[in-house]
Amino acid sequence: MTPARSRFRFSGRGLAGLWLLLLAVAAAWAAFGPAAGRPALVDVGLLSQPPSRQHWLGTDPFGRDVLTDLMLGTRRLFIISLPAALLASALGLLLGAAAGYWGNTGLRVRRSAAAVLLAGLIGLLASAPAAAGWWLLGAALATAAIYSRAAFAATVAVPLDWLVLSAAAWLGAVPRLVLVLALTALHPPAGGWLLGVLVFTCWPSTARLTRTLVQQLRRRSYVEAGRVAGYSAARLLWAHIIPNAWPSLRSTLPLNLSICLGLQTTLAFLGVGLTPDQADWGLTLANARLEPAAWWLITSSLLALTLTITAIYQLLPTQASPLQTSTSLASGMHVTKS
Amino acid sequence: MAGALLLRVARALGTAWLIASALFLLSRSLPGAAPQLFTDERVGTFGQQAAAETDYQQRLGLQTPLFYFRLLPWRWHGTPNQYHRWLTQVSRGELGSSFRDGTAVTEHLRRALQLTLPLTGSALLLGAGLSLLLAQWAARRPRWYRRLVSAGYFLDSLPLFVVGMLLLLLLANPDFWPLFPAYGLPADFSVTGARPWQAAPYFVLPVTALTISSLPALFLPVAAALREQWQQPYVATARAKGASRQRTSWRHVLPNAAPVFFTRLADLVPGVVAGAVVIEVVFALPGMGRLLAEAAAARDVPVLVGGVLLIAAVRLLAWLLADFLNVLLDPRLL
Repeated sequence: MTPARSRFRFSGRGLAGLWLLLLAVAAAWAAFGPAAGRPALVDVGLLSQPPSRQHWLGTDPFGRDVLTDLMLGTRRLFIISLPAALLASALGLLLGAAAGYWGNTGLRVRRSAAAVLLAGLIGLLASAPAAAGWWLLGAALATAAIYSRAAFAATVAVPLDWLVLSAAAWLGAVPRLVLVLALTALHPPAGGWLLGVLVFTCWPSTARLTRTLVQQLRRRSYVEAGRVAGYSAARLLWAHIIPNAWPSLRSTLPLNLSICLGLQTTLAFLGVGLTPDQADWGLTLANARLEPAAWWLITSSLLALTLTITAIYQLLPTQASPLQTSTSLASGMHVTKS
Repeated sequence: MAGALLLRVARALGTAWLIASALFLLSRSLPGAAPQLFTDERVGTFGQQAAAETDYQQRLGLQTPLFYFRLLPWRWHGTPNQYHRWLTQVSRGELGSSFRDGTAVTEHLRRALQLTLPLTGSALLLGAGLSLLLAQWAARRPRWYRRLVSAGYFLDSLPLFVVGMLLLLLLANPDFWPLFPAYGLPADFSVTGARPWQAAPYFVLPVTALTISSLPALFLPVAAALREQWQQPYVATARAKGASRQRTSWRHVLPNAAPVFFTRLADLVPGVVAGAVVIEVVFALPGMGRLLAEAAAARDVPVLVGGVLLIAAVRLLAWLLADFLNVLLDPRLL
């Protein structure tokens, strides 16, 4: 890469960082500023006004200032999309690493402990809610007792790989947008539920990528050497395997973030899982449909969304050229809108 | 081969059943998700209102227990339960009736599909053809390939309603460039009626938006696979034998990359239906997607579960078909 291009790339990243910082400031203003907790003011005298000195980005069909509305909308970016992307990446990383490292036969538990845990679970479900704590305590104590003794040493393998892969395939059987739409609709609008639904539907791609990478790396001689030296599985994974898989794994967080942002705004656009007084970029765009001639409304919210997604893409690792990313992505992390 | 296919069909059916069951049980057991009758308190005395509520519950079949048994604490309910009734109905091909207007869900779905199938079908065909041509063209031009890949990833990451709204803003804006009608359908339009082509201008923008959105999902993996095939030694052999570039790319390289194409196409079939959710709302077309979106907004669970079941079935069917095609193309894949 020539110096000129690398400088350009750097400045692109700088601009992206600046834009995201600006969004964070806007979200902080929306959360703690004077307008916190209230929707933008409705001014019936100024319905659908083009940009002017007072309203820099014009007003929407309800007479609200578009700039204020957009700034209030950034709050949801930081309380829904960002945590959802972080949690989905963490969950995918955890499950994928476990599935890739232990496979179907690597993790073994004592057969008697598995039986005790299963009995505890069944008892827990079949008894009154008040007794649930006792069942849990009993199962935990019995498991500890079994592991403290040398007897009952027969073990059984936990098919971790199979479990993770079938859960991912099961989630993949319905397009993601339809699944998210259906699950969000089942519950009264609440941030926590939407967050949970996004995490629940977004982890499989990260898990698949992590699983493939860990599977490749755990056969390397330095991991074998660590195992022979008696390192624990957690230490091997955390200190030896994950750092080596990191260059590929780094891209999962920005990708998950753009997916979550897309899903969150799409849901708001469809008017699902959102109370009417909350601001969201998708809702701003949905309002724009009331007034097709209001170009300032559509343009500003489209620009905000597109700039954010471009900025998130600029955060992708520079080392991974499009070619490398495309092959690693095609194997596990393919982004589709479904 | 027949045995393997049968196994796959069975697994696909099992998956569809699991998904629909989970959605049904979740929808009925979550607090606040079950339908309630909202009446004004002043309409009647308390007794009247309670009676109306009971009537309503009975009409929707909500007074029986949800499942065969209850956990926490354990209690066996037996067969007269909501899930059993729903399952027997589904096995007979009935999906219940909508909570909103009492029409059968199958009738809702049938009417919506009449409009959605031409829309998504044409978008899918256009997208598949265009992406194949584009991938073939770009696979031998590294510089263009790199540009197209970046553009593809960017396009892929944009939510679909952004594409739709952008088209609406540019090509259907009354102030700017009103090339096409903005949304809706002509008042006297019906799919089976006379002269359905009169509605063609109303379909241009939705089909364009869906095609644009399905392009990268096909182009990216297919172009990558084609590029990989171009590095193989058999290409050099074919060229040395005197096969032209055109012939090499269509007769030698493409069949080897075809499994990727079919697999991705199968992935895309239900994805286009899902994309229709957004596009039909943007362009106000009364199809499958808008039915689902409205059902979700109104928490009309039977329609929602029926729609998800249908889409899951379509996806699983598409996967089966792609598997079958790939086995025909390359018997090693079985």
